[in-house]
Amino acid sequence: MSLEIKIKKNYGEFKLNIEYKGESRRIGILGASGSGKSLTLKTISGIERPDEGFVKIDGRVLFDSNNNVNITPQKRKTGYMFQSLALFDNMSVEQNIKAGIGRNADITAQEIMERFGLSNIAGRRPHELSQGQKQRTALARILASEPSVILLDEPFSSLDFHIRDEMQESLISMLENFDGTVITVSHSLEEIYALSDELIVIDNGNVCAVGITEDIFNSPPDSISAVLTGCENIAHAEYMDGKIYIPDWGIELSSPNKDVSHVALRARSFYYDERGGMLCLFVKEPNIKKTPFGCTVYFKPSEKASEKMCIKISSSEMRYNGIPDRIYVDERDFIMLK
Amino acid sequence: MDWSPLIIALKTGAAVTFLSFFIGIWTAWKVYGADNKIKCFTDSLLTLPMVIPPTAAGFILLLVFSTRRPIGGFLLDNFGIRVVQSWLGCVVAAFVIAFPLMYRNARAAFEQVDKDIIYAARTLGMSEGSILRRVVIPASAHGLISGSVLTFARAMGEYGATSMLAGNISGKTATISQKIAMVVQDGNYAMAGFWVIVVISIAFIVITVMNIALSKLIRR
Repeated sequence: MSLEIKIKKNYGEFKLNIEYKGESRRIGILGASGSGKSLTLKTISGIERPDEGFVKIDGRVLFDSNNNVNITPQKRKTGYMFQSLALFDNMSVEQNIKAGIGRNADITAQEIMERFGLSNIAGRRPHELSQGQKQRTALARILASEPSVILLDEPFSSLDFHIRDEMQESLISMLENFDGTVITVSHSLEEIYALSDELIVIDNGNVCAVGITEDIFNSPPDSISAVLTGCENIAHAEYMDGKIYIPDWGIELSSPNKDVSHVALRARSFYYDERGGMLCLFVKEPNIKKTPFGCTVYFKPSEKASEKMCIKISSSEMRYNGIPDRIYVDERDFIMLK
Repeated sequence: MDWSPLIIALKTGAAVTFLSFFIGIWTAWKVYGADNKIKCFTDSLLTLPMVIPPTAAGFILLLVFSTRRPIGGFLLDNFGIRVVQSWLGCVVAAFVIAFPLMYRNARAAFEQVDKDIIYAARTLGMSEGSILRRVVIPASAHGLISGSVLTFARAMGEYGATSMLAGNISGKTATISQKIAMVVQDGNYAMAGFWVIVVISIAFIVITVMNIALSKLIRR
């Protein structure tokens, strides 16, 4: 499986400029709202036509502006799962699935409905289905069209919190037997982490990082990736004589890394007790924000600090330790950003 | 009692609605898929007959279809088709005036259809014709029904363009609206009043039936 895209599209003030080449079967695209994630999926599926560039899947050219190739969405074999699921309201579950089956398909609607546990609701219309049944129908319909790539556009963002986990789990298990590539677009960290092996981080229409999903989450290469992967504390940093100074927080770190513009620290990367060689940060001028299972404490980490940073404390930690007056941080937990 | 004005008006309304329904949907679908510049131009062009005076439209039609002119002469000589002073003239005149109602309603209804549904249909491999027939038309049923009913009502009552192109020949081209004009000129107000009641009743029934049908469709 391989995907190669290099596309440019001008939307006036917003310019989409995406380049990626990889062989992963589970690709995630992470970006803020309006960063061009969905547009990227739409250009892959042929719904949007790029101004220039190419789209290749498994060596098959779907779009190439230089050679005037633009395969219609009908022939691209890309299954697009919309946030709204886009089921046909005037058709039953069975008819929806049949709509996806091509003339020469080897598979029947019955087989697919059995596989997805939809046989007993074959005659129901979409408005008579639960969210879970709708999602299963949408995915079954996509798989009925025998796609080589499935594109998931914010698959769970419209769902209530309490069913989201269940639906994620069920989608992952339904996709387990799918041999093709799955590209998931989301701004939800959990969704993208669960559904991708390789991650593309997009900001304002441009790719800012590509890599193994876990690697990007563990050590984001730049400040945009750090913010998008949920890093709560980011500050400007300056290298000088083997040390990194962080003026906003009034602290310094010993590091030989000269190529640093920012440092980041996750809000849970701290300890209550000192363990050999740790950096001590004072919790000055704390502001406490309640969260469902604990709290977030915003504080100035030193006398010289001009900006606050934050830590997240769970309810059980609060019960034993309260709000600490100082915390300890392992310097290796600071993420160095270019 | 000569019921021919009613029959001619109903026949004209039915024929125009039938033609407008298919041509209107097809045209609206083509314009819907076109790029913005073409959309603006064709939209203006196709709406024009609705906003210009019907007599102006009738005059243009008369120039086109007059048997003494190239197109009208060609149709008569080669196919024996006569548009002026014939029932076909009633249909052509009413079609030109009423078609924009169907077209505009269809296009507005298509614009209301969730684009994701159309995109999904495309990525599933459905042909454009199949998408129109199986996805877009059912999803825009409301607009298409109301467009058809308005087209029927407008076509049935058309006067200006019809009188110019088809004339007012009793039993042949005289529709209810033409009959009303004719009897008023003769000073027969009782007969005019009768036909006015007929035409209002038909319009009322048609609109009420449409409202009932639409409310059932919404509840479904």
